[in-house]
Amino acid sequence: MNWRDELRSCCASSDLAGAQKAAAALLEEEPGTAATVFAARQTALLAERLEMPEHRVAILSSFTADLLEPALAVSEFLAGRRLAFQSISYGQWYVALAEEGPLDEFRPDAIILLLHLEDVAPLLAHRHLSAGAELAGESDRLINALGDALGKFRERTATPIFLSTFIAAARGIERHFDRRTKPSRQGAIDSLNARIGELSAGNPGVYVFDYAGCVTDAGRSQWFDPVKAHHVGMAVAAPMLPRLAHEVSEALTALREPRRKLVAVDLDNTLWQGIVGEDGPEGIAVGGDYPGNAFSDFQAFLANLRASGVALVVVSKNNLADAEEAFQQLPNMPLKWQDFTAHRVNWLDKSLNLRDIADTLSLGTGSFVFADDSPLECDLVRSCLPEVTVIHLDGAPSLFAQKMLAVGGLHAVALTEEDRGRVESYAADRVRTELAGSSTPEEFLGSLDLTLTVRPPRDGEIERIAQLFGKTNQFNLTTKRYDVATIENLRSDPTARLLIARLRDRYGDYGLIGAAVTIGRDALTREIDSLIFSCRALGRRAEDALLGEVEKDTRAEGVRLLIGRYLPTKKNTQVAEFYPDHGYLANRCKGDGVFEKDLDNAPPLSTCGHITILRDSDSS
Amino acid sequence: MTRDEIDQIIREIFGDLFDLPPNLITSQTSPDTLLEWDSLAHVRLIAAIEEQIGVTISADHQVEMLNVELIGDILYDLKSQSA
Repeated sequence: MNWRDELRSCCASSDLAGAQKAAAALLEEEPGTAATVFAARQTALLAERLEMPEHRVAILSSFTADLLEPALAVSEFLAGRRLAFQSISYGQWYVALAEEGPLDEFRPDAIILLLHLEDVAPLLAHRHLSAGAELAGESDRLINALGDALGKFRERTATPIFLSTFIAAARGIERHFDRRTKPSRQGAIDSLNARIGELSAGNPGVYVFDYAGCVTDAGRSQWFDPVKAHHVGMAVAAPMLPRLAHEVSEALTALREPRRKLVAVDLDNTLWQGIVGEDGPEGIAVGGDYPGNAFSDFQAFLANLRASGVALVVVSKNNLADAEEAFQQLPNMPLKWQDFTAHRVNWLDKSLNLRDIADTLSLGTGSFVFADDSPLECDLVRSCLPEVTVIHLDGAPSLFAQKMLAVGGLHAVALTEEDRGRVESYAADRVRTELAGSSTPEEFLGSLDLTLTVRPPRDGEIERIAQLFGKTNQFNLTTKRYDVATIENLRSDPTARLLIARLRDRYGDYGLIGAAVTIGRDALTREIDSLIFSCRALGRRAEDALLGEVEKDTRAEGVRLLIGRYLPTKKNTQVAEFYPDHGYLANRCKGDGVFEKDLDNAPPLSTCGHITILRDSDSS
Repeated sequence: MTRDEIDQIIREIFGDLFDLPPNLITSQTSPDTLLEWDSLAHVRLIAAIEEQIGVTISADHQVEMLNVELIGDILYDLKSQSA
């Protein structure tokens, strides 16, 4: 296959899937500058014609990053986006962040700061032994400059920004004694990277791009080109640019797209080698020598994935008793039977089982990843549930984990407290569902001991609020998608009030599950700009309690008229009557979906007796 | 590698980088006749040549590559020396 011709013809006929396949295949077959520039030109035309979503990316680098543009255009195209690129090179990164200028004019969706140690910490890079006392000051100045630039940038915009980690372009004379000597060069670089992490964790919308990890994966001596670094300011060897672009796009996808929520795995030849129904628990290979050690490592990978907030379920054609016996008999496996949020071990079609799990857990199959060693099962799921990400685990089990990571959809640029507790909360949901089935709704709600905390957000919660605005479809009155930047603006806007809701019950903590934004229209009128509630926490009337608190606050400010708005989407019909159901009157003069409540003449919203409401700012 | 083979690869590279059909590339094509051949494009051109021909071009040679014919001459010399 001539992939150049194929790409040209797919682009000419507006065949997006074909063009993505051809571009990927061309660069796989011929990774290099010429093919990359060719692919970038072809795909740019198609991306424009198809009006693919534009993605404005600014790279602020300490070296010439202009050369990255074609590779990044291709990797963005493969991720379904159309790149608009800005490169700000050499020493201009500080000024670009600190002062209003070209970066502001470009209005990027995301910024990647790519700094080379040689450029921004030359003493540490080149002469850490001879620098003497100046060495420590250099790192301090760099971190202070970064913090200062970020602070000034944040005063103007909340655009997400990635800080890169540092790696030296080469090892020097210290290589055999570095770690046992003071000052240790690698020790100083490690501490610099730890401080990059702290800057990120302490500032909303600031993430870490693990450049050092990316270089390490490729190999430091392949990555850096010392001659071109000196000659034309291009320190990264041209053949490495597609790798860099790929990693940048992967991070940007993790930032923009909702993460997959659930991984469904098969058992035989997926979690262990062998067929438990035929070979018995003693006949399958997991742990010990090869290939058992490879399967055991894959299980460990899945256990870690689960701890990061992705639920695991088993979907396997087996007898349930055989599957359970394997987990009982082999207690040293990294995964335990209880680690699976659900299991469908039966002889039914796997796509039916996946649908059933989606219904049980109230998740969409679009958030599912299905991993199986059987090409037949993979094809069946692909054709019945095209929205499911299917990963065929063939070949060496040692490579299964990399395969899962490469297909994507599992990456995240930040891990919130909710992410970490999410899988446990699915299990708590199951207990609640069982309880709900065996009692009246009133008894059920009363037995939960619900506590709702309503208050303005704290600094550490902004990522989570943005996540909630990004993903909540059903209980979302206006479906405004606020990002970290907008939320920060709302926090500082004197006319806006932002409240968050956290819910917990006797079975566990749901975390931050709701938010309300109101905007003052005049002294006597406020409008509920947004009201959202995670579907996981619905059905407990806590959403009513949140509205009640919004009304209480508004009344306390002396406002008389509260306006609510319902903007219909395909997914939010369940809240079409939310305002009328709570005593709001439709005001057709102001348009469809506009409701009002005269707070002076309306009774307080009946408080939900089964919920304890905390407004104390010290509470969780 | 013959001079013809080298010239053929150069033409393909120019096609990819500058979207130029082979008949529009002459031995005298240079940054003066080709608007897009700026300093950034030159860095890219050198990288592409190094990858496709399998040579490392020194900083001195990079500045001497002022038109298509000179590029071919330098590459032919480099390949003959290494052969």
